[in-house]
Amino acid sequence: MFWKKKKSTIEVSKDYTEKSLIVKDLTMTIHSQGKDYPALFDVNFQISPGQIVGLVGESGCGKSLTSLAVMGLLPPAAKIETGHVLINGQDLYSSSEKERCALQGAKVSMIFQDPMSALNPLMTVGKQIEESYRIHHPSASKQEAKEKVLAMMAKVGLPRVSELYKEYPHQLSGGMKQRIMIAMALINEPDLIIADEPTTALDVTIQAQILDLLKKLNEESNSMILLISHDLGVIQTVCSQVMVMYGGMIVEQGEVKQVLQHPMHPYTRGLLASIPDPDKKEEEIVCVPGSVEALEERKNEGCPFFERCQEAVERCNVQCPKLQYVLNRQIRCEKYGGHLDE
Amino acid sequence: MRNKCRNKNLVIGTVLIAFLLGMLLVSFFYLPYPPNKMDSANILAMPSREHLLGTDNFGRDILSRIMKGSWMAFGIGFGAVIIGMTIGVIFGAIAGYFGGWIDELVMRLMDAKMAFPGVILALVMITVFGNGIGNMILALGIMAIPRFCRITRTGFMQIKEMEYIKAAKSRGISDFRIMVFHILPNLSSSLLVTFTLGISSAILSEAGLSFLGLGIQPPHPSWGRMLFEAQSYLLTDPLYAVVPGIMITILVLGFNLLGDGLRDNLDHRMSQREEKS
Amino acid sequence: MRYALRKIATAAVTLLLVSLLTFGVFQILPGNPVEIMLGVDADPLQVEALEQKLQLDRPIVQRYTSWILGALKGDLGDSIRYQMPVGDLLRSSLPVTISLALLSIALTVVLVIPISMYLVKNRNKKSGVFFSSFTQLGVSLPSFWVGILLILLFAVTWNLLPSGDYVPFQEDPMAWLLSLILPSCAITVGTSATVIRYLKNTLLDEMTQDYVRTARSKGLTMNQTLYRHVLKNALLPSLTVLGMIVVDVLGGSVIVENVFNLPGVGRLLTSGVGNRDFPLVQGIVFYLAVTVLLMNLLIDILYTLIDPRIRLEGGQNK
Repeated sequence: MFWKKKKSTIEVSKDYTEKSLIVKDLTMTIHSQGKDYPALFDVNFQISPGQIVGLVGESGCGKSLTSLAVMGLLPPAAKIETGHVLINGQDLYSSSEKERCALQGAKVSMIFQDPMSALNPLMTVGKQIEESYRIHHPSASKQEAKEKVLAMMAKVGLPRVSELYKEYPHQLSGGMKQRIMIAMALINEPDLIIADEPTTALDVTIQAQILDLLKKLNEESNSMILLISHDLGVIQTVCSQVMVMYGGMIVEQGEVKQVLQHPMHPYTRGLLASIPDPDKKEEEIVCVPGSVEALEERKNEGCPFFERCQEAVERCNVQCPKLQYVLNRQIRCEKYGGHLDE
Repeated sequence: MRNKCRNKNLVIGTVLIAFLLGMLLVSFFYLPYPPNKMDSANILAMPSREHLLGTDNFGRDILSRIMKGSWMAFGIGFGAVIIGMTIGVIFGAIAGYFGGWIDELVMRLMDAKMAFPGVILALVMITVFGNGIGNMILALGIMAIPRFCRITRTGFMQIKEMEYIKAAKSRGISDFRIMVFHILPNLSSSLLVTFTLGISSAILSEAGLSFLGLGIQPPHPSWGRMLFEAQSYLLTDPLYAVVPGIMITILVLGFNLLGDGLRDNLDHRMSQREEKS
Repeated sequence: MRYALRKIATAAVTLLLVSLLTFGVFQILPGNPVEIMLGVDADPLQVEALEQKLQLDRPIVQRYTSWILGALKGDLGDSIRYQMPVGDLLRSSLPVTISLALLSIALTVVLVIPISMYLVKNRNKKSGVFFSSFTQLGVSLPSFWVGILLILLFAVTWNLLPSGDYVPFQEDPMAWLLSLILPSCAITVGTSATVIRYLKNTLLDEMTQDYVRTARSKGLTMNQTLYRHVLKNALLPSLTVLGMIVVDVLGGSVIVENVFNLPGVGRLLTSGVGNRDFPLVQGIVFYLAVTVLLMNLLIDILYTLIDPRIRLEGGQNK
């Protein structure tokens, strides 16, 4: 299998003080019905302090899996074949469970897609935030923890916090629940925040508020944010860097301005073209034909986008292109040269 | 992993039931001794070549009685569940299809029935009607009604909302035809599962009642009754009490595993259908 | 609150139906009930006395009303066999059954949570799969046979525990406990297997919920997540199963009391059935059913106290 060819080596720095996220050569398989299927392939990216990096793609292309891999919360069927995830220089997958738990929630935290189901229905929201704090500050007194929680709730823009502290998730609106999630993710002032479609389940007006909040918090604390979204508009307003994923691979990555204004990969262009534009007439909307193939149906060679690509040539079906530096960005496409086997 | 488990339940269940069915079949043509033949010279004998499982307190051959007892177990199990299913499906179909106060009434009736713990309702019926095989089957059949009623009602409530049923109604097909030919066939697999699990609980109850001396009356060999008789000879002949218990357990376990295996298969098929749609 | 009221109303309707059933089933007797109870060649004087006592000449509605009013006051008429008020007979045998039931339920509750957690934690290991299959066996074992085996092993062979012979708590608490250990074990095997199967599946379902991932992302270990978040969510629906256990335990005690010679309600009931003592059977069955109904009502109301989603129903929903 082609995804097993490459071995990854990385020098782990023993200095854990520097804020950084490095994902290097990450290749992952999912075990399903007795077989391993490649789910992520050769994923490489970095985030530096203060950056908000966007990750876009259709559903099923590996966005969420990437975020879970960075969070250290892989589903049981997933297995890392090669590669590393380094948070502040600490390798997540060569650490013990204890070391990993010390990192999760403290240095890296996650805001989940659906705030309706992501909160425990039987625990007051205040206690749920507090749990996040106390597990990493075992010596903190009850009073101290509660004050901290109330302050954080106010900071994320929640009203009448002392009452809200005692309420249960079902009593809150979707937007409020998402703010609770954000408060929970920020309570330990993490260096890295992963936001997996944080606004998809919310009304448009609330969406803008939540995005503003994330952006503001990022500026204040100089933290790193990995924002996952299928909405290019969201990426454009919030992020500085963007990665486009398809079929478990990063196909194009670079600065938001460059990638979104001058897309080079046929898939990125397709994605941008499928945003409805009021200036264009209906028939002019160009879509990407077809849909993402199910994991089990993916072929193992050639470019994953081959079937749907309108610019594909014969060679695309045989060889998987390599991620190449072209004009200040990285791109994985036959048109711009470079192959894995070379 | 789940795949293996499902097959395991089904396979073990089938093997256990097949073993007992085999014994039942053999007993139609061959029994080592007449099951009610007493032999006063050979009371509570230990297993020997003549009596593979020994003899009971009247010198009757235990193996023959065990084999003959399988008639009773299967007969009562199937008989009771068929009665329970017939009545339960009718009630459940009416309640689920028509809804409203009929539904409310049927459900309260089922609640009322469920308030009688375990074998107690059967005990009441035996008190009133007297014991005998027919009454026993009827009593256990009535006990099995609620589980069929509930599952049928739920099924009818779900399916009657589907488009093709609404279409059939608008074509003027009678309620009765819709219920019997359009809705009921959809429930056959879940009813089969309930049927299988119902048999195991009917057999368990029969054994319990016979054990109390209130079910099958002597000299008919019934496993529960044998346990009751064996109880007095625990000190001298423990094997007499062990064998009928093992038989009951195998039968109940077999039908339970079969039912679980079938249910897992059904769930699996449903989830596959959902994935495709 | 509205939820609780609705539950109470439903329970009241069910109670009415239960009383009609228990009363009605004795009215559809084929033939003369007095003849059935006393036998064909009974003393005519006795027959007349019983007929008078049962007020068979009065219309059925009147008899039902006087029976149900009496039953609600605790007066269930006289047992024919024992020539005593059914209420008195019940009062003397009730402590035995209550002791047995409470001990069995306590044993079940104590066993179920740790075992289910163990099975869930080890579900992918051989040991977990192996022990899981035992629950299927536990569900299939007849309680009375388990009782006989326990007597055979612990009383007859090893002589460790008494095989029944109930001792009242007031006389000797230790002997009371010892006399009830084997019977409650016999009941617990089946009930705990049922609950373990249910709780294990609920736990596994809950573990796929999103809030579990959230808890893990806070840095809780799998164990901490299980105990702090998953368990409470899984136990809540298991409350309903607790109601089922009470029914199971009461049903099981009828048979198990006969195995262990415990002078409880179950023994009283079987002797009533054997003697065709209608007032006695009617009374016991009605009270058992009422107990089950009240128990289920209690559990429904308990839900409203524990589950915030129901407790705060109609509260400020923004």
